[in-house]
Amino acid sequence: MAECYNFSKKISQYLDNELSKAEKIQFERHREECLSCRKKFSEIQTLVNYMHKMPAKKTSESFNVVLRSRLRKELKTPHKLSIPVIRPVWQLATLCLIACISVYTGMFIDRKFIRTFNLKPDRTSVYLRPIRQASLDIPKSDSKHFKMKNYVMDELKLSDIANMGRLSNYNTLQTTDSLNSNPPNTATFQTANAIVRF
Amino acid sequence: MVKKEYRKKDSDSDEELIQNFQQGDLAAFDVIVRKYKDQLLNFAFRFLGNQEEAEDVVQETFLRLYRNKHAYRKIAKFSTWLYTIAGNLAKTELRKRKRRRLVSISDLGYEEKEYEIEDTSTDTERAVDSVLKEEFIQHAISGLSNRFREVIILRDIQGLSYEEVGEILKIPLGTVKSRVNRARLKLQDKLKDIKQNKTD
Repeated sequence: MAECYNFSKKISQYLDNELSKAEKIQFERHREECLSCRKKFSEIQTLVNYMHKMPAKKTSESFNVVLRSRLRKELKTPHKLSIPVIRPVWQLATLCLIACISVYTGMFIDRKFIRTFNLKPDRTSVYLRPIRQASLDIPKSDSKHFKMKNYVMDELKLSDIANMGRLSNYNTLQTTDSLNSNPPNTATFQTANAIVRF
Repeated sequence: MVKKEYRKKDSDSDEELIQNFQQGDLAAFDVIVRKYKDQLLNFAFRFLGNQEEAEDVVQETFLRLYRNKHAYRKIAKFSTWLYTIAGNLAKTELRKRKRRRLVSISDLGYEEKEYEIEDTSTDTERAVDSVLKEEFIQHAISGLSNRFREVIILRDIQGLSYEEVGEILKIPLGTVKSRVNRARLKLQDKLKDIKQNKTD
């Protein structure tokens, strides 16, 4: 068994004439003795020989034309600034810093997101994608818990949000109420711009 | 006159050609393209299994050469330097393809083809021979991981020496040898699997 393992490790070296004379003799002796190794050797030898003779693929006729055109474009466009070579230690340090910032920012956004919308775990189907902080924010002095923001909503059920404000540019997936009322009372939106009050 | 000059340039060594190109001789670049485009195309095609993508990789390789001609230093062999660029681009293309989730055997067109398989009860040589068709091998190569795929293409299809393969992949000679052997064994196993699947 160990001999078979050593044999299979040396097949390529034998084929590429990389074995010493003694190793070669040992290899050939085992090949004569072991049928499965002889079979394996024969298969790999045939495979390697075939690969050496495999027909080479060639470039298409338009290759040169396309290359010339791309080169012409290359000559017209100014070269991008090359990135300066940074030593591996600094690369690692920069990556660590970026990772830390990303994790911290992610946690902050996540906490703020959950706090702002008071999302419960079972409301994962509600997905809000804020596009910008609307300029419609009401100063805190006017209302402590009253905020308005502008959102793009994906697959959002209107009933999931208690205080829905103005809706615009919406595409509905399902509607149970008439869309005549603005905004509709119960609808699933594919996308919409909305001002939501919390 | 021009023809004569080209003929002379074709016989120049790669290192002379790139040196001339670095000094602004664009005819040297043309000679390099002519000399390497098919070699690199074959390499990229065997790596990606797609002619269009392979041509794109080769074009990009020459564009990179054009853009970064001064990055080449005489410490490396020019051909291995060029292969390294093409190999990296091919790997990037594979990663992109995986990201786009476009890679599948059916995309490569292998599933649609019918292959003739001889009776496996015949002797080994004949059975192996029957399987050894270009498409089968290409299919099996596509199923190898990148590190085995690149060594087998460079060594067995492109016919490069172990030293050149090591230089291109930036791995020691001993690693190249053991990796080539493992790649061949794996490829043989893949071919057996393909044959088995087709006969079932």
